[in-house]
Amino acid sequence: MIAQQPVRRANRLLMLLLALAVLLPSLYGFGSKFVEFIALYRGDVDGVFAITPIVNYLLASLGFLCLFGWAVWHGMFRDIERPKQTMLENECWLDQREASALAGDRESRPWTSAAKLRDAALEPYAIRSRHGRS
Amino acid sequence: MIDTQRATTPVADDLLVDRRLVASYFVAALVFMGISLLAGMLMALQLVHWNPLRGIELLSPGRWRMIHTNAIAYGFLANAFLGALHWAVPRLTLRPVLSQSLSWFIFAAWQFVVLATALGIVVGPTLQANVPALQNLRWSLGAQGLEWGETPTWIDPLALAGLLLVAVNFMAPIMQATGPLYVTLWYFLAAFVWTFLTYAMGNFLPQYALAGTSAGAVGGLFIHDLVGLFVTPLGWGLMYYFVPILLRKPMWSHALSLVGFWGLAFFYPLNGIHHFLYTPIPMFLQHGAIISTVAVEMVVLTVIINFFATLRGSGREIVTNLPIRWFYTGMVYYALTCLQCAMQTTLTFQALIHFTDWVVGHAHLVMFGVFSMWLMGIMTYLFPRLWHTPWYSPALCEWHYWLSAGGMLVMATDLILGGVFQGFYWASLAPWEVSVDGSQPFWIVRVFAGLAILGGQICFFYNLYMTWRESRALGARPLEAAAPLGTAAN
Repeated sequence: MIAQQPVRRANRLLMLLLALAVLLPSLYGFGSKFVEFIALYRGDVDGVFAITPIVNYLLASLGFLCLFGWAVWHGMFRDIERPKQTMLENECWLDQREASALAGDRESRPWTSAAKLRDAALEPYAIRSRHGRS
Repeated sequence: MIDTQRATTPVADDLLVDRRLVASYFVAALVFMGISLLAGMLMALQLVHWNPLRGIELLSPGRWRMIHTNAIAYGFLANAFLGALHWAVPRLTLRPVLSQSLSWFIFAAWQFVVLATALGIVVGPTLQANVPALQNLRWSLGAQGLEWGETPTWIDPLALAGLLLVAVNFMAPIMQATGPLYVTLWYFLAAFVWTFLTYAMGNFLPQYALAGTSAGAVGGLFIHDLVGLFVTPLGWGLMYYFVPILLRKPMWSHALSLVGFWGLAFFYPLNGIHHFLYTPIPMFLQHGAIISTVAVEMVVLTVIINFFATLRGSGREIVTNLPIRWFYTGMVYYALTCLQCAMQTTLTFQALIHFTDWVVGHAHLVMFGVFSMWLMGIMTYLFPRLWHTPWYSPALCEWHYWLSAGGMLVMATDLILGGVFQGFYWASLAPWEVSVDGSQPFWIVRVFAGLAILGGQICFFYNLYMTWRESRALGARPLEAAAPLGTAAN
């Protein structure tokens, strides 16, 4: 069974610091270059060359900005750590179904738990070095 | 909510995941991997003046080089990704893909696209020059003049339609999933949209709408976006799925993984022009590409921290669990290649290494050292599960890993170092031949590193064949007898 791990304050702080470390210099860089771009486009023929990749980028980013807004609106970031638990629980459940199918004809084995059933059925397929075999 | 999803999941496992399709994609991928490696060896031999196919026009090095790159990108990576997606998406969403018939159609269509591309590259120009009926065609039957996009122009619309079908087939179960999405599904969703847009942008805009510098700028975006918006999101998405299930514990921080995803979404698309520093593209755009590249490096750092923090406390898995070792070796190579990227996008460093073998080493580190290694790890884990048969020889699996990882390390180090030497030769204004002669030791080492990698794959192919034979002998049993809900519980 997968234990629920509480999100620690240090984790949140680290995440915030990393987000700021990524966002602040990038926003500064993009902001200043965008101002330069506007100036270049208005005053120089080179600006015409620049417009194609910039428009590509802006269109792609606009799409993702809309997606980001949609995700926030639909609560995709509420209980933000929950999906990682759900994914493992589902995977465990699928493995159990597979294990019970594989072990269906092994009547002589006294299976006592789903976890043992899964481990016993799937273990032969796991690649482990000789040192790792218990 | 989860129970509702599980209740609507098909009971038989084979109805959720089409194991035969996954295995078929993987086998097709490995066939193209073999072709690509052979083509790479031929190129390596050409550089040390030992081309065994000298004088054969159809097999000239210029054509083989394109086979080498296209077979690995569209033959190996695309096929292997599609196979892994057919395993991961239904299991993550608890719903099958939109249509398994459509999946098989896409499988067949994609092999046609890749084979037709190879055929176009090898015989297209010769055919068009010698057959009068083909000489008046408006479009070339040979390679399109776009790096990584050499797919002949007549195939482009077919490939794009194929990518659209892939997106529809996989997005159907993802869009039906309820509740907050796991990070893998975010990456996959984005990859389906990005790949379609990137392919359209790179293959159509320079061909039909743009010319000169603008076409060059879009070509640069295409090359890099192909790696960053097709291969990277699929690769990381799969890592976020396979690493936790193999370690049997969740990612260290799902929130941090989402920072990585959204960071990639917003910072990556402008990176491509860093391939064209010191070109006539306006310096304003080149500077923008450098800044966004540095931003992406920071995003990469969050991803690497997250994965290594997840490994904390389970470090022994690196030794005992071979798929995990493949994955984390790829991640170390990924960190190295991104560090390299941050260095080479500075104008000072670019002045030294532009056009040298440094770039070739970087490309090999990315395509083989990172993404191919991840896919090899996935195959090492999945083939026995797909065929319900253990590996014929775990020792050969180990040889596969060590020859591949070791060969890659030697090749990348050799080419990167050789690139620096070449840069200094050129900067000294010595005659071109001097730099070619000086490169010979590096190119000879590259041949042996390539042989090691090829040897590793031969071990894998043989092991796979013998495992398949054993699975046939054992008689792979279908899983229709899967227990109904709850019966497997304690």
